[in-house]
Amino acid sequence: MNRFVNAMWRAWARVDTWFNKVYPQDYNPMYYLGGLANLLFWLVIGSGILLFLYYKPSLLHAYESVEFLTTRVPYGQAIRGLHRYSADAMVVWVVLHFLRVWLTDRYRKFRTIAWISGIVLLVLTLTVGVAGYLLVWDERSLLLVRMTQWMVGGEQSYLGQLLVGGSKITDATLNRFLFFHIGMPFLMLFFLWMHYIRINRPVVYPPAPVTLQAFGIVFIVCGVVPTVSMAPAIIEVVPKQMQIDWFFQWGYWLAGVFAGAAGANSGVAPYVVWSIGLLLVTCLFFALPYVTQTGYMNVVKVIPEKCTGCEYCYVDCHANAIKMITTPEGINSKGGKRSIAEILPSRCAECGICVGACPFGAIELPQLQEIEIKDRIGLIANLPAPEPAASPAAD
Amino acid sequence: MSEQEPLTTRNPPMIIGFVCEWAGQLDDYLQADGFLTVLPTVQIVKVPCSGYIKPAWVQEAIQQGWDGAFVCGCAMVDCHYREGNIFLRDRMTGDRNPYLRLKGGKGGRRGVDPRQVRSFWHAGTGGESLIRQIHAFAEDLTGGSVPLGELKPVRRHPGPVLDVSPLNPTGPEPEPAG
Amino acid sequence: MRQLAVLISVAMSGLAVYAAYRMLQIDIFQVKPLTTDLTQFPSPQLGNEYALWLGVLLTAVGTALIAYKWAIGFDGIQKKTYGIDTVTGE
Repeated sequence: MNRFVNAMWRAWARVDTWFNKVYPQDYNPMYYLGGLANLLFWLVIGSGILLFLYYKPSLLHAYESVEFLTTRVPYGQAIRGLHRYSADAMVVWVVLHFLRVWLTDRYRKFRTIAWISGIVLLVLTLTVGVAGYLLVWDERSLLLVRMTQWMVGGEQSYLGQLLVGGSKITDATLNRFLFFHIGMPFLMLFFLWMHYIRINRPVVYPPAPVTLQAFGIVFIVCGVVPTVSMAPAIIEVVPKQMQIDWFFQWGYWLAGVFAGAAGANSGVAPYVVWSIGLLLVTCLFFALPYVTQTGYMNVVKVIPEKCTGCEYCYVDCHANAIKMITTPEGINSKGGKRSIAEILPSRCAECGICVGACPFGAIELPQLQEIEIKDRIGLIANLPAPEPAASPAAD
Repeated sequence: MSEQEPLTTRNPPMIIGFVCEWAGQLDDYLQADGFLTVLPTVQIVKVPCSGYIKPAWVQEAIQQGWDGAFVCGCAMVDCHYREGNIFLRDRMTGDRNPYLRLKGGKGGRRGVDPRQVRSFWHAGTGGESLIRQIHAFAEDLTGGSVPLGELKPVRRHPGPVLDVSPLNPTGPEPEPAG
Repeated sequence: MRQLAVLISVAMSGLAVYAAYRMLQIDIFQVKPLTTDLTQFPSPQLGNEYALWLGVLLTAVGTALIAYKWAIGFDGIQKKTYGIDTVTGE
């Protein structure tokens, strides 16, 4: 198992080095994937607010309000394109960020809360994106609604009715979709807060040149591929196919393939199986930090007698795992110090950055103490004059 | 690079390196006692993060007689723990406490000669390119050429420190077949 | 490597200037964004073209900045920082 983790991690590091040949190390976008997702999130929200000014959530007026926005409102199509393509780009960065965090082993123990909130954010990103397509109320929207209803058990099932607000599609349905598309991003903001909560000085935005390139590419796509709607939806007629936005609707395409393989008369069963499968995979990812607990041993320990309360370790800890407390009774203070450091074990990453920060040797990693390092440095005294090129086969 | 005067008369020079375990992977080139197989006078000390490294160790190493000392951390901005390599870089340049005392810089007379210290910021890929850079460091120290063994990775030995970490299997490995 | 970086930096700056020129050539006030008279039907293509050139401008400026960093020899750390040699690998 560890070999697999090691191999995946090295493969990802290899990909990073390709980008290091094109970008200087601290401008490499692969190191800012989360920041890029966050950045594009604000672009999506900004353009979405502008679109919201014109949208009318009713069966009769939704399609025409979107058409009005696209063809009559100045720059309407450009803003609509910006909204759609920055959302697509955001999915790309979010998925890359998810893969990188998973394959480079950055999700365990002290990062568990970031991982859990991150999976929630991934699911929400995809859901909110699909909900956006539902608002346009063209043929694609209708097919997406029907397929989603099939995935939860059919049009008359409990969840199917919950989705559209009843046994039939009415104006209330579009209001509900509006909630999914505009209310749920507020939930995303909450989980984004949770995503950052245990990180000291999180890097939330990429550096300026990378930001410019990211925005620029979205704008270019926006200009080159104008956004259009399909034909307006007719509720009684379920469309057979739609123009697919691969970034958000890959799940629907796969569900369709699955259903096609299952045969024409299988009803909603393949869709339900598919959605249960997706749910299981998501639960597996939620459980990942809890099932892979290998490798962590001991958190760092403060030696209170040596601690002077200088706060270097407190500032340097990247996981907020150190706090300063008033020196308890019975500890011999060094020159009358008032506070010493204390570790919060559940947040400690066992990295030792605090050890490197301490000029007084007052904090130690139990599994690698300074005395061992000093012994290795002291090897120079015992070594004979070096011989040229000892044979590599000696071991 | 061989034009500068040599800093040591020993060839090959004795170098100690503090290498982060997530940075350039030297495991395939390590002997059991911590020396590199292809550069047998280079001692590698593996640490969990480059931020763990105290510049005082680098100073002490030079003062105790090592010809050169280097630190190796992950690529900038890519520290596995996010900030360790940035902090170490700042400590090595004197911008962050506790810092490395260099002669002619903040260290005054008791500082170390800056030419005997080097820092590498290397992504976590294979050790070959890092070894070449260490070799270049060795050649700069001696002012001449230093023999380098053939760069063929042997089956990984357990590192001298941190046998148990998220990247290593628990416990030392059995002896390799060959 | 450095010559290539200088070349790309200059080329991207030139592209950025050209994109800005094309952007400014579009008479954005022909669209009269604040009008309430919607018999003035602007072409959506106007906005798309504007977005395209804005995109080219942003990408070109970003790429020029990156190439400029390479051209001046910056590799993420600066090769020699305050006295000790620094090597960025891979």
